[in-house]
Amino acid sequence: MVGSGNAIDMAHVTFSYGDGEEPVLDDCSWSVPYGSLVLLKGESGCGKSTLLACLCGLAQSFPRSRFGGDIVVDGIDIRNRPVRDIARHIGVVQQDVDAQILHATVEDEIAFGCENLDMPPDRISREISRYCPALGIDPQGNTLTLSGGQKERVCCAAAFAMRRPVIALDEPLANLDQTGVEIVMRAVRRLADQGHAVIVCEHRISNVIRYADRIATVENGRIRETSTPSGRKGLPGGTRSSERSGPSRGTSRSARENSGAFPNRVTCGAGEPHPPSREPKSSVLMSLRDVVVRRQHRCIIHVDRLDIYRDQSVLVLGDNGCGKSTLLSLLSGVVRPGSGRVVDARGHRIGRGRGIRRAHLWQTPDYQIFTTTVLDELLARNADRSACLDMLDAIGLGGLSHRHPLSLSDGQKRRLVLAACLISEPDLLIVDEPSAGQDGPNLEREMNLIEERCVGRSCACVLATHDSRGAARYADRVLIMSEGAVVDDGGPELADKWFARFDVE
Amino acid sequence: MTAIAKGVSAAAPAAFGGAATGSHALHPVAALLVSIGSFAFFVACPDLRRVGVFMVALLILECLVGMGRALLLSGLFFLPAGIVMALTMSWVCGDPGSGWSMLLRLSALWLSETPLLVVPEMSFVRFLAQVHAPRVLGLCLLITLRFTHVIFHQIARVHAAWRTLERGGAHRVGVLRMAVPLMSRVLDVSDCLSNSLEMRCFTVDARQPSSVYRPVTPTMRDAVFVGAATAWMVGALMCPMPW
Repeated sequence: MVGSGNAIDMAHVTFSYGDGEEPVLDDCSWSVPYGSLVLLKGESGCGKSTLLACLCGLAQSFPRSRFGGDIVVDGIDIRNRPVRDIARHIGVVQQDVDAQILHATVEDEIAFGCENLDMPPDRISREISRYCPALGIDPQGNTLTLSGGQKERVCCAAAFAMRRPVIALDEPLANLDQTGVEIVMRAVRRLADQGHAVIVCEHRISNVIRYADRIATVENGRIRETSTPSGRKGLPGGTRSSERSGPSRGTSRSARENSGAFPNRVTCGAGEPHPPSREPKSSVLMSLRDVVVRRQHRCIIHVDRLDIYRDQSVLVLGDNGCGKSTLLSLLSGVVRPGSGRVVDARGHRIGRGRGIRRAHLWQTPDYQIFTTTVLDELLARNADRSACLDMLDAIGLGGLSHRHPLSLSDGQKRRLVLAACLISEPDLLIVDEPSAGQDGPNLEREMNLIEERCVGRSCACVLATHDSRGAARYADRVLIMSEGAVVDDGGPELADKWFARFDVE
Repeated sequence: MTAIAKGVSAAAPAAFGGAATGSHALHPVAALLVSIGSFAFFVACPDLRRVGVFMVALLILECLVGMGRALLLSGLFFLPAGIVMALTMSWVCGDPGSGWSMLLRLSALWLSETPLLVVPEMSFVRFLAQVHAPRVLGLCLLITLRFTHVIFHQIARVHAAWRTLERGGAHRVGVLRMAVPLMSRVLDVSDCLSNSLEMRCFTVDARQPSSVYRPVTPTMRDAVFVGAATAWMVGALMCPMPW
């Protein structure tokens, strides 16, 4: 293992979070050579993040955890080593970017890790000059005012600047629009070309697979490597200093399908046309009229007129910072317009508890859990106990009604808050990034539940997403936003055109 | 509540750290010297006339070096507190004069603390690293200053999430219930933050070498600021009062 020439060597690694708990990793063995970009995928809750935590030594320090096996990272055995020593060889960018940023400016944030490695100031300056333009971030930017996508790029820049031989990124594309995805993936590919071993753990597989050399799937506690997509030459396992002439891109669609990557775009079937957009059968549910939202003297949203119909499913698309989340917050009543009106069909202003009933599922459902049991979370929205229990069964949480919601996995929390939104029998359901942190099967389950509960009840549904998976299938209507305004309004074919800009399938 | 929390979190760096990246940021030592010196003067000087004279001089000096916004923002906290304490003092002592004295000294405290608030936090941390101070001090400073913004941001988000509940639902979920997601997020953030520090090789072990990206060096502006404040302080102390 030590001296094998690989960036990572794992042998018979077993890990569980406590005595008697099912092992998350079970006799898992894996190797990653230098100079490769590996896509690490798997279902929600399969152990991808745990695997990354084991590689950097964090998981072993969890109380009551059980770890066995050997892990060698960059030639060093990480057993009994402190995390800060292991961190000189492997960097991990965690999912929660808000919690990782310590400094007021982008430049200071990137420099912090380099200072800890005793890098000379001129070299730190070079790294900042290299990665800020590469990732499209302003070094003098104030980190408190950055969007989620920009924070993600800052965290990536901070990890890249430390020039560690192994880098692991845990869902780096979650907050990024397609432009941001391309920027980050190109930077990651360049790192791999320069001899670093890079592991990207993602659900948005189609965005990574074009750049990846290998695909590793975490299943039943083990890692199964599938063949590299054809058209991309496998990299020679080399030292850190090996260079490549440049990345090869553009894998064929059949190659991707053969590689075992599950289809990420839920289509209507090969060759089938999209279902025609449903003309709204009934009346307008709510309208935005001359609505303007400003923040710090900047116009975030400006909508002249936007009607939402009772039985329509609306998909909102747009780049980072275009105002999608603000539009959703306007529709749900969380944000009030600076001017203009949000009205119902009769022209009356809508407020909380006044007018139509609305439910809003956020990208991070942790914020929306207010009670101490799963059942109470639903009862807080609907006092009908039997309906709540039926809903829990429908979403697969029937046996967990007395569990504390915060003890659930991320995917379970998301389903719980979705159930809470649906049990309140809203007239309008708003979902921000339905695919965040969701693998294909879970996403499909979530969307089917929404479709079943909303379409059947003439409930309108508004979804905002960056992710192409399943987007067009569920939408009757697509709104494209840019710089706070709705610039296009049409049928599902608009979504195809939108995602086709980046050749994402 | 959302607006207040967001406002504080957004305005604080703009006002306090507004000079964070510019070359016109105060050196931490200069800020400390003026702050401690003026604080000692305001606390120890028995003559309120001299305190008043030095207050006016310091206010002018701080405005001249670009601390106007910071003075306004910090004044929002200090001055109302001072008024409340002054009124309380007057009432307890039965003597309005004691209240004025309290208000004056608390206002003086506001002026003496403002220079510390405008120094970018990174300048303090880098200065501590330059003088090889225990790294735990720098870490405490960084986390304390950062966590204030994080807490306000999380409060704003939790309150906004609570507002996604329709009013009927919110009655079944009282305001105090916001503590559930808030504490959960604070713990998550703390966990992630500490992991992030370790993953970026931060250590409090003084034997591990570390560099300083932009060493903090004193400038002529710092010398003038400290010199002028000292001169005014001596003048206020020594000069005969005309009234």
